[in-house]
Amino acid sequence: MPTATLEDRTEVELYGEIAVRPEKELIAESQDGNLTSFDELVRRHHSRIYATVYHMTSNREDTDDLTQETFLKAYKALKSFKGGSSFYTWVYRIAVNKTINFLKQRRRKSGQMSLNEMDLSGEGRGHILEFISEHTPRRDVRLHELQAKLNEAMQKLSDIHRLVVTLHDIQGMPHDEIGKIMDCNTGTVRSRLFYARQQLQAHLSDYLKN
Amino acid sequence: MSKDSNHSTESLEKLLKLKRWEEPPPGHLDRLSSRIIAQLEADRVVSRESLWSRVFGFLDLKPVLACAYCAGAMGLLVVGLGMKTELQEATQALQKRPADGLRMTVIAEPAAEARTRAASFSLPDSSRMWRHQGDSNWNNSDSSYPVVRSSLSGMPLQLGAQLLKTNTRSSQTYRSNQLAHPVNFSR
Repeated sequence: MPTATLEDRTEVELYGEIAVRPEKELIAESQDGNLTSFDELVRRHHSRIYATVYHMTSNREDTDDLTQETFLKAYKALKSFKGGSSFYTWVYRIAVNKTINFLKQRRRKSGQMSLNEMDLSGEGRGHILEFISEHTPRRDVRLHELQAKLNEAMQKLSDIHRLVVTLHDIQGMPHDEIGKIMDCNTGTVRSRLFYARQQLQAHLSDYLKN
Repeated sequence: MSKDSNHSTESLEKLLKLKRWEEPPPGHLDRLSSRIIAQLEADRVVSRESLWSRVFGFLDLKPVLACAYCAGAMGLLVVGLGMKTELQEATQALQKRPADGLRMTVIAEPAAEARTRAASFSLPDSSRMWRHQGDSNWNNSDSSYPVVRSSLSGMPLQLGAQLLKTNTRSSQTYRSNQLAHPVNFSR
């Protein structure tokens, strides 16, 4: 069964009740310099952009800066947005390019991880505890240790492979959408994903039950 | 082997999904949005600022450049002031001593008339017959009196008369306009 692309989903499905006004209208108003409309666009997309950048950098402060820069650049370049792709894909592309450029620079300086806390309050708690009890042979493993190891393994991947894993396995984005963002075909996305998973399995073998 | 591999992949997928629960503190993203909009508004204000504000802002960031610009501006100011002073001095000198240093030519008028005028000590302005040497516009062929070309209206009448007496030449000389005598009026 083919996966629906982001364009196929309605705005209400994507953003819930917040999507009262059509996105095209908001974009047109933002292009005319209306910051209130742009603020609404930012609020619709910032959590996904933030999450992608965060999983790429594993650093909260860098993520804040990059997310901010992404939207600032998006606003400045908004006049050049012709609507060839969805606004979401377009902003994502800006975020991804910015993040990859940033990571290239950071590699020379050796950045440190600064992770967000896992949300253990609601639905997340069940998933995490279930995983720890079922999938890791080390039952005494602590949540923070697991989180740190996972991020460490992610950081060992190349930027491109980390991006594919982030977009597909963490954010649940379909292959064709990832292809659009990364400007490559679906086959390339699949092969990169396969390679990245192999690498991660090797790095996390202690924490994955065979 | 394949079953193990599949299981491991499944475990990995579940592990990766756990990362979805890594979330920023509550309200963090709202604050981030506000910061983005505030930054955009600030950028707008900056772009509305005058050219001078931007220039001074730039110079604030580069003190060395600011010093260089200051030194340059001061240099230009000093040169300007110097030039102004020189010009003022030259103008004052000219005003005080109108013919000082200038080579003037006394053009003689017919001797008889000159004597008459000198004797009466009532020379009209037109009889103060000076002109700058080399004035190509000079053309006296049709006039009986030379035209006054130089602005020597402030010259004492006595001096003019004296000059006329001492420099008068024959009417023939006057007509040919060749024997003009340079006179220096330095006091």
